[in-house]
Amino acid sequence: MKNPDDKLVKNAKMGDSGAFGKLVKRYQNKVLYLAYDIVGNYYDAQDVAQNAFYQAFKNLPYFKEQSTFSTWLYRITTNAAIDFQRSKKRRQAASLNQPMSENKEDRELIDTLRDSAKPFDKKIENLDMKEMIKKTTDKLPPQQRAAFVLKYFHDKPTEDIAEILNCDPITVRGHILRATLKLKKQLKAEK
Amino acid sequence: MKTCSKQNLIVDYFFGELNEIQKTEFKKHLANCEDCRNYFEAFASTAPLIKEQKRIKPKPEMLNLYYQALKTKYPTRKKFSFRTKDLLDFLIIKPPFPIRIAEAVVVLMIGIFIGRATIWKAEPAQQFTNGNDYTTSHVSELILNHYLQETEMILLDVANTNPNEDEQVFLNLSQLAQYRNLLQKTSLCREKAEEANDEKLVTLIDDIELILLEICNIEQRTLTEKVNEIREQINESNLLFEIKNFTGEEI
Repeated sequence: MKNPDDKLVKNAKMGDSGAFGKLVKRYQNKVLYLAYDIVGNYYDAQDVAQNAFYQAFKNLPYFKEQSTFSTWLYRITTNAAIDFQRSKKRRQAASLNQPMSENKEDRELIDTLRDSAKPFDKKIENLDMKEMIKKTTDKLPPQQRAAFVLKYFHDKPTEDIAEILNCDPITVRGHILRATLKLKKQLKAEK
Repeated sequence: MKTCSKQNLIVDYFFGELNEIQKTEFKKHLANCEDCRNYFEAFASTAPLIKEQKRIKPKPEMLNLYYQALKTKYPTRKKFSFRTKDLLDFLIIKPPFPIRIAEAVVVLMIGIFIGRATIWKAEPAQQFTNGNDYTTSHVSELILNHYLQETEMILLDVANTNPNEDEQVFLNLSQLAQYRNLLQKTSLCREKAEEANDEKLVTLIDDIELILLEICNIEQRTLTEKVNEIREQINESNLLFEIKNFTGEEI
C-alpha cells in the first residue's frame, strides 16, 4: 500500500514549501509528544520538536526514502531529544559545581525556591502510577528511555524502534524489558 | 549470572509481534525455562499498567504558541495564488499522463517547425555556395527568372517603341522572340509554376504567352495595327509590373 506521505515528501523535495508545511501539520503532535516523553516537560519538548522539524527540513534533500518519512522524522526527533537531555545533564552538572553565591539577595532567592519545592516533595510521597513512571523513566539512560516510550506510548513495533534508534532489535528488546522490570521493582518498593 | 538467550523475546511475545511458529516455540520455551517464566510474569504484570497510562496534556496556550511557530516557519500554502499553483501542478510539477503526451507532441511540432523554417531559409545560400551542385528547384528558379527577364525586355521594347518609326525594330523583336524559343520556355515555366502550385505565376505566364504569341506573329503588312494592339494589351494587363514583382522577389 502506498504511504500517504510519499507524494508530499516528493513535492517537498522538489522545493514545494507548502508540501513540507502539510507534513509538519500532520506530525506536529506526534513529534511534540515524543519529545515530551523523552525530555519530560512541554517547554523543553516544544524546543526539541521545533529543532527536529528544522533538521528534517534542512536534511530533506538527503532523505533517501529507504524508510518511511514517519520513521525518519521519529529518528530525528529522538536524536534531538536525547542530545537535549545529555546537554541538559551537562549544564546541570556544571551549575552544581558553581560556588554558592555570597550575595545576600541570591541566597534569599535560593531559600524561597527551596520553600516552594517543599509541597512538591510531599506530593512525591503519594506518587500515583503516572508519576511513578515519570520518576522511573527520568532515571533511565536516554536510549533506553526512548525505546521504552516508543514502545509503550507510540505503539511502535520493535523493528521500527531499532530503525529509529539505529541499533539492533535485540538491543531494543533488552531496553524495553529492563526498563519495565525496573519500574516493577520501583512499584514493589513504593508499596 | 548467565541469562537465557530467549529472554528478550518476552517483549515481542507480549506485544504480539511474533509469528505463529515463533509464538508456539516460545510458549514451549516458557514452559521449560523457569527464568524466562519469572521474567515474563513480572513483565506481563507491569506492562499493561504502563500502557493504560495517559500522557499529561500540554496547556492549550502553550500548544497554540507551538502550532503558530510551526505555521509561520512552514506554511502549508505557497506564496503564489491558488490558480497559479494549480496550473503549475497541472502543467509542470505533476502533469497527468495525457497532458505529458500533449506537451511532448507540442514540443516536437515546434521543433519540426523551427527546423524546417531554418532549412528553407538556409537552402539557397547553401546551394549557391556549393558551386555547380544546384538542385532541380534552383535550376527551375533560374530558368524562370531568366525567362521573365527576357520577356520583360521584349515587352519593354514593344511598349516603348513607336511602330510608325521603327518597323524594323519590331520585326527584329519578333524574330528575337522566336529565336530565343520564348514560347517553348513559356510552356516549361508554366509546368514548373504548376508544380509549385503558384497560381498567381501560372496566370502571369498565361498572360505573357498570349502577348508573346502576338509578338511572334507580327508581320510586315499588319505591323502598325498589330503593334498598337499589343502595346494596348501590355499596358492594360499591367504585365510589366507583375513581372517586376516576380523577378524582384524569390519564387
